Amino acid sequence: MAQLEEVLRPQVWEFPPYPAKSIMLASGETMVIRQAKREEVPVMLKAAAALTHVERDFYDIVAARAYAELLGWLRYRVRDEYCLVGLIDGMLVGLVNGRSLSKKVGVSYHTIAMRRGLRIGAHLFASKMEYHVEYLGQQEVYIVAESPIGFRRWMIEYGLEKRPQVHHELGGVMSWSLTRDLYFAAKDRLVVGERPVSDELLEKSATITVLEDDALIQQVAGKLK
Amino acid sequence: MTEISAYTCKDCGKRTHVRHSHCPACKGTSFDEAPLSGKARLLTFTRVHALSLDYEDRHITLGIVEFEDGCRALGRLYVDDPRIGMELTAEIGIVRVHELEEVKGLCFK
Amino acid sequence: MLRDVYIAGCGMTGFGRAAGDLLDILEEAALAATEDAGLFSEIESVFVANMGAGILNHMSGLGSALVDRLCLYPTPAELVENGPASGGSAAKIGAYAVGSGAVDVALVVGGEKMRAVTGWEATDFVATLSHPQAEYIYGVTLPALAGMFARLYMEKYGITPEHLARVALKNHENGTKNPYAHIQQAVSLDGILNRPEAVVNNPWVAEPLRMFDCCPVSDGGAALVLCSKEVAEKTGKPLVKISGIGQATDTHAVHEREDPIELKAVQLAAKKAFEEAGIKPSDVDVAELHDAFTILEIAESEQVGFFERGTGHIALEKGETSLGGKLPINPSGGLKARGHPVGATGVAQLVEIAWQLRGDAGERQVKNARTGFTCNFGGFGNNVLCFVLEREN
Ligand SMILES: [Zn+2]
Repeated sequence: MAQLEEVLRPQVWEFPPYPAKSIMLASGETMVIRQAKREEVPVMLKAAAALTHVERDFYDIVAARAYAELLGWLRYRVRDEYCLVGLIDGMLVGLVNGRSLSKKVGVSYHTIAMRRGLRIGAHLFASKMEYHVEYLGQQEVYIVAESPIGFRRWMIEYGLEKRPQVHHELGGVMSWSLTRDLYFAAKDRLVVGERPVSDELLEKSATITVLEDDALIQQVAGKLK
Repeated sequence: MTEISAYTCKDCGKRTHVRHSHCPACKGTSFDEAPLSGKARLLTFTRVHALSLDYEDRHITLGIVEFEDGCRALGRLYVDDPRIGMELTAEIGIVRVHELEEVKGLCFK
Repeated sequence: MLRDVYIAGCGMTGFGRAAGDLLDILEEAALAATEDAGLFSEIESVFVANMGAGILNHMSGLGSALVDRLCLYPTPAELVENGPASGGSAAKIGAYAVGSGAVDVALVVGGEKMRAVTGWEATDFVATLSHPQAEYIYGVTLPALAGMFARLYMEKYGITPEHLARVALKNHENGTKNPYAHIQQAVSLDGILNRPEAVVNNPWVAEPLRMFDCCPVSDGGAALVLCSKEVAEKTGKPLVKISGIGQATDTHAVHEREDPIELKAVQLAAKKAFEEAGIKPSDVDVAELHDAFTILEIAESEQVGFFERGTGHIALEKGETSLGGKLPINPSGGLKARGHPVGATGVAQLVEIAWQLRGDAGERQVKNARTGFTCNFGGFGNNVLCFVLEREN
């Protein structure tokens, strides 16, 4: 069995870490964005599972796929995957994940904002691009989205290029690409945050907590009035 | 190329870009129609980032201008660094593609 | 008007994203107001305010639809459409119906369901009120018209981005005290303006206006029961009288205004409302202004006559327009935080003021408020309604 398992487990590239940063949100709250550890996956799975029940803005499909990707990472079934989390006082307010296709090419998976109206998704997506280009040193990142609203926003804000020959890992649809040049052209407008993060803030962000399922669903789906 | 009109009141000479049944200045009811063109001064402008689905641009610039004869109009600006009071020249160009149809309008350079 | 008109009942739905359809929104608001008034079968005429059902919800004939939902037929009913001033217009027409003696009790219901479409489509829908040949074809949006206005207004009077942000700060803060508000989240000056993160937190919409200078896109409804004094006295509620109504129009295309920063329809509508009520702007204790854009709250506060021209932003800075200040403006959170379901807004403003004058405004109550004012701004100021309300007993 151990031998079989070895066959199935992907080779892992020891890629460079994403240095944590802090961002002040419109509300005045400080969000820390840091890399999640593999052993933190279960708590994120809990949040993702809850969101599979939210049809609004394609949260269900995004959460279901992210769930599978994160579980795949936990159980050694996805190669070179990473996850960045957004935390306010340790509370999970969003996550993004992706992986490396090669040392030169990254693949963006998902972006989930768990609080609305504060541009948390925009900050996390930008951080993911920052990771691929500036810390993993990749030449381009393949991007696609389930939600037409999110996709159109990124397409226009970053001016993504088409990659008709590339079928994205998410559903096999045509990929779009953020190249290094596009990234650096957009960086001033879209990528923010302060480094290093103080020990005190890091301490507060050391343990990830998540809302109870119903509260999380309501926070994301909006209290229907 | 389609022209964009201005209307001159036969009674008082007031020129407007928008067509009215009655002159806004003297309530006169007969007008001469002529193309709107030439030089104009920029009165105000904005770079619009939140655009309708018709646009794939990240932003467009719109402004209100006053032509030398006092006629005013709103149009698309093709100027890198717009400043209030600057002189511009009007041209007719495609300003929007709405439901697959190209719409022509005033462009200022 | 031949006789005085009173507000016997007020109701609102929570603004934001509605679970139900447009008719559900209208029903909920109508029932809240009729229950508040204790009047239902007494209703003799129904006026529904809505701007976009034809475009957004593929519905028309809302007056008939609502009387059917309420089983109020054969009561006469109609739809009033006047852009973002639809609510004010329906309230005016309802008040005239009572004031003329034609009916004793009228129901006015404003509602909009905008979140049935994407934000881009909602922005484009509102833009259809601009001049079709001279504005709309250029991709004009309401924020674009407000941006051009703001550029001139700010330059002329020395208004800074911080002043605009302070309108948002105040109204978001007020919104946290209003359980009906769409946005119940305070914002910070650092987060939306001063820190480098603000470029992402608060992106440009139409320069010099940013996201937090613009109202959100909302669903929601609001309703009023209007009646004669005789009927109002029987309800046992505090008497709130509509003592002045003013309305004025201006050029359709903004470029045709002699001075683009003069909101003439605002000035004239306010003047007429104050004259009819026989009061001065300085007599007002609380006001709801149409802050679809932060700059508009400042400009309207001057042009309706509360502050000298060019000093609205100074009054704001001094806290005079905050809750607890000399003249609280938009205690509800305004369009900025309560939200702006376009057809409902004019009615919601009157509901808020009626609650304030009755002492029913909860945490956001303005102390001893006896005289209130509303300004409902349609188009980009091409059709404006102002109301003066007074508490009588
Ligand atoms: Zn004339």
